[in-house]
Amino acid sequence: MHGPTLTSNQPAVADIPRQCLTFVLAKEEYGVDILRVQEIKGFTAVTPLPNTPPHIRGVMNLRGTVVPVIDLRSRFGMPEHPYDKFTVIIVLTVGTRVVGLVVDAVSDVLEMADVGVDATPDLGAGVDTSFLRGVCRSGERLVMLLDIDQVVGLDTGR
Amino acid sequence: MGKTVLVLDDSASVRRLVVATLQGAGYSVVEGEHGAEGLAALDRSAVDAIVTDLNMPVMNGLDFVRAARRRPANRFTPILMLTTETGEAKKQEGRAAGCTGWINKPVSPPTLLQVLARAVP
Amino acid sequence: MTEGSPLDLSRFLPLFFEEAEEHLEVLERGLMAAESGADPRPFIDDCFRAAHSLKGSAGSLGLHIVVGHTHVLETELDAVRGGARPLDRALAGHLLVGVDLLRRVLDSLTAGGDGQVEGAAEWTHGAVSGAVSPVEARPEAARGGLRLRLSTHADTFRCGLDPLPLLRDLDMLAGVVRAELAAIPELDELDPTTCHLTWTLGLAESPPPEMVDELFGFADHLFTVEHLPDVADVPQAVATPAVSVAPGPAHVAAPAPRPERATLRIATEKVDRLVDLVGELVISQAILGEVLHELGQAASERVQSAFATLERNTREVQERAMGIRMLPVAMAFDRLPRLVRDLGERLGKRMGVVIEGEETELDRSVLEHLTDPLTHLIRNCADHGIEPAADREAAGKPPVGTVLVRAMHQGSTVIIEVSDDGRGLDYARIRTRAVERGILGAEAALSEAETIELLFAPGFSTADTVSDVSGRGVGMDVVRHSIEALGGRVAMSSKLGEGTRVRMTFPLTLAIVEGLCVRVADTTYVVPMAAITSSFRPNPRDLKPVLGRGELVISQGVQMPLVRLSEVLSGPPGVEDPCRGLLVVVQHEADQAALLVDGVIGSTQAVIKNLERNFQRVEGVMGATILGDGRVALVLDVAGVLRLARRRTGSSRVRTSIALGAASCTVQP
Repeated sequence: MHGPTLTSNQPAVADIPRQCLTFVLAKEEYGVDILRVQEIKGFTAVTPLPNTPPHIRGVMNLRGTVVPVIDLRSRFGMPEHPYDKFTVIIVLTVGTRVVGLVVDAVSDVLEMADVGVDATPDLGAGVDTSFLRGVCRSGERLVMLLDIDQVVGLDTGR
Repeated sequence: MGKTVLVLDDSASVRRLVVATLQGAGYSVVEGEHGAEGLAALDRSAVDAIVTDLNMPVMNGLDFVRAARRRPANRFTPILMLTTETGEAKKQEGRAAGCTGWINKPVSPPTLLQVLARAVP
Repeated sequence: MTEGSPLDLSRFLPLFFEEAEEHLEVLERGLMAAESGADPRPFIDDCFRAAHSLKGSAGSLGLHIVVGHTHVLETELDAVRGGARPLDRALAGHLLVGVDLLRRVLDSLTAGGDGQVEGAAEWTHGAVSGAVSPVEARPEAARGGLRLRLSTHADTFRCGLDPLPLLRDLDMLAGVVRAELAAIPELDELDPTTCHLTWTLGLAESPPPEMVDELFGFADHLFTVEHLPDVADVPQAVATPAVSVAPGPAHVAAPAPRPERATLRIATEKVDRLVDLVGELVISQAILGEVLHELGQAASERVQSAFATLERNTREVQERAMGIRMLPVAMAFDRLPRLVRDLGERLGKRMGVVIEGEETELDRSVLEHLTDPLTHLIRNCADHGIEPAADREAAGKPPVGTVLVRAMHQGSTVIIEVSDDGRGLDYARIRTRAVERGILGAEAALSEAETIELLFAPGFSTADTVSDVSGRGVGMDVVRHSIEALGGRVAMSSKLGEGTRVRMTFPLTLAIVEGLCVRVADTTYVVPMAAITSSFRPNPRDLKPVLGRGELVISQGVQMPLVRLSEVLSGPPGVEDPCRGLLVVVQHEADQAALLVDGVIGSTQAVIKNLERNFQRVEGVMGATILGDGRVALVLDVAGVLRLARRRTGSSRVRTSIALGAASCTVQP
């Protein structure tokens, strides 16, 4: 599951977004470029798609557009967690596509100018480091910056 | 297909301007300095139109037109007169001779092409 | 004398078009500013100059169609410039339409066309009589038009002038041209070199004196132009009988009043957005319908009848919007002659292509993806169908082979056929080949249709020397796949020695599918109505489990596989016992199957949203649609569902064998 181990003296990561939306997944905090976020909506019913990998929960109706919904826990191979009132779908644009990510809860918007970003060390996080663009520290907090294109890579996981 | 035009003018500079304009627009050109040269040119080449000065040595424009109209091949060939003389009497004379149209001097290339295009459809 | 004039002014044209573009931009900027309500004064002079110089340079290049058009613009702008009328929004909008048309005229000319653009002539003529009526503001202009009498001198022909082209130029400004025939002598007195012609021209547009002068001034010794005072008796835009005038074969006639049919060029995104929105509208209307249905008696009759109207209007709007997406198949056919020629050259065969029905319209998204399959099919014709000339002659055929590509409507479908008059399929050899390759048991007896199915089998297509078996089959599975992805079907037929035909059938529009909503557990699926042949609740005696091959059911004497949708589509489990559910019998080509569902909800007009847009293609699913309650339902692709079912039961690649009860054909898994 873990990618190659990187040490923290790797050069800082280029192309860091100015602001990140952060969310919680299995008690860890992750961030995505806020410019990619189209909207955040409470979990709604999805229509399952036949013969797709388990992390593809199905498709939902986003104001007339049919949008696939990916369960991030399942995508990262984390244990399942029943959807509750905090469960949200973060709707993101990935290239020309729109996708929804199911996460445990949203937490914050992070000003990236205020925090340091390192290349991804092997933190023993529950996430394959190839999904990460870097890690930022904000005081006590550690936020893992997701590489959304890798995460969504729609041909994956068959 | 480029059409052929006979250009007659005793002024080399006017001739050059007219010839350049016509060639620029894709016409083929035969030229001469006066009417007699023009008739000789008509013997050698079939032309689709003629542009000629009015006042020329040896054979002037109107004499040239009369002579050309007597040639079966050029009975209906459009002949445009390049002239500064726009008087009614001259035009009457020109009509009797068989002139097709008039282009005022100094020659403006666009006008020349426009009138030529009207006269030689 | 129009743009068809044989003068070669072409070397000036690129520069002219470049300049023209700049002028158009100036005009557009100014007029758009005025249209948006800004003070137009700073722009007017620029606009006028742009129109003026455009007209001038077009004139010197003999582009009369542009002259006529810019002349109207120039005149209007001149009136504005002189303070005779304000450049208000209405006028600016009107002139902008003219600029747009002019751009299309120029586009046409740039592309080597004749500059005839639908609506352009109407605009030039209508500029005066239209709602904007700019003429009223020009005090000097005769209201409603102008009458000219144009007489020619008897010497006109003898002076080498043909007046006809000039008349045509004037004619372009509109109106009615009438020849006065009274002066023409009897035939035996007629001197053909003497000109007797006089015309009366009723012009909807009053040409300014300089325009007339520009036309006839160079030959004012031959023409007399009189302005006639009264305009009342000039029939406006009434086609007078055409009068042929000598010399020359052409005739001068009033332009027949053309129906108002302007065209607009619209960005495809805009159209797609519109179609999307109409889809939304249809969905909202469906939701409303459902609410009304729930209210039942509680909804007043007036609401019900208003809803019925809305429903009708929505459907029409939908149909119209879909129509915008339709394009003639010529778009996909245009390059085929070249392709056939090149293939013939490369293969050293003699062949030609015949194209029919290229005006048939098809959904744009289908057309865009039609090129590859078409190319594939034509390559097959050239490669494997058409024989070398010598062979053809030996077989008593014309030495030049023909590839026929045609498109036609059939009901709510469009059919595109690619056929050749080549050697046709040799069924026996295909069977032998299939046996050799282990696809088919040696004792299998296949019909011709079943043999053709072999050619569509993925394994078969990769055979190294397919042409060995007089083969089609090169990539036929690929063709089938791409056609089915477009919502179409493919069928092939052939006769040995006579040729082969591949027929593709597409729905008229992809965006809407007439479907049946069925329920499995809490999931709704839409089954395209076109694939459904019947539905029934089976009796236990109709059911027949086949060891290791799933289940069979007999419907009206025909035995077919029973497909449990919940299993095939990996959805939540539905009813277990088919006798408690419902069987929907579907057909795809030779395949029939009975889909087991919990129940039927009703029919629907499903607006299809494709899954590829945000996700990827999913086998067995044509797309998704949004139900009245806002949920997403999947629209099934019957061919794909049947494929999935076959895969589950581990049955053969020869798809027909199951539908036929597997009795006649032994299949190797």
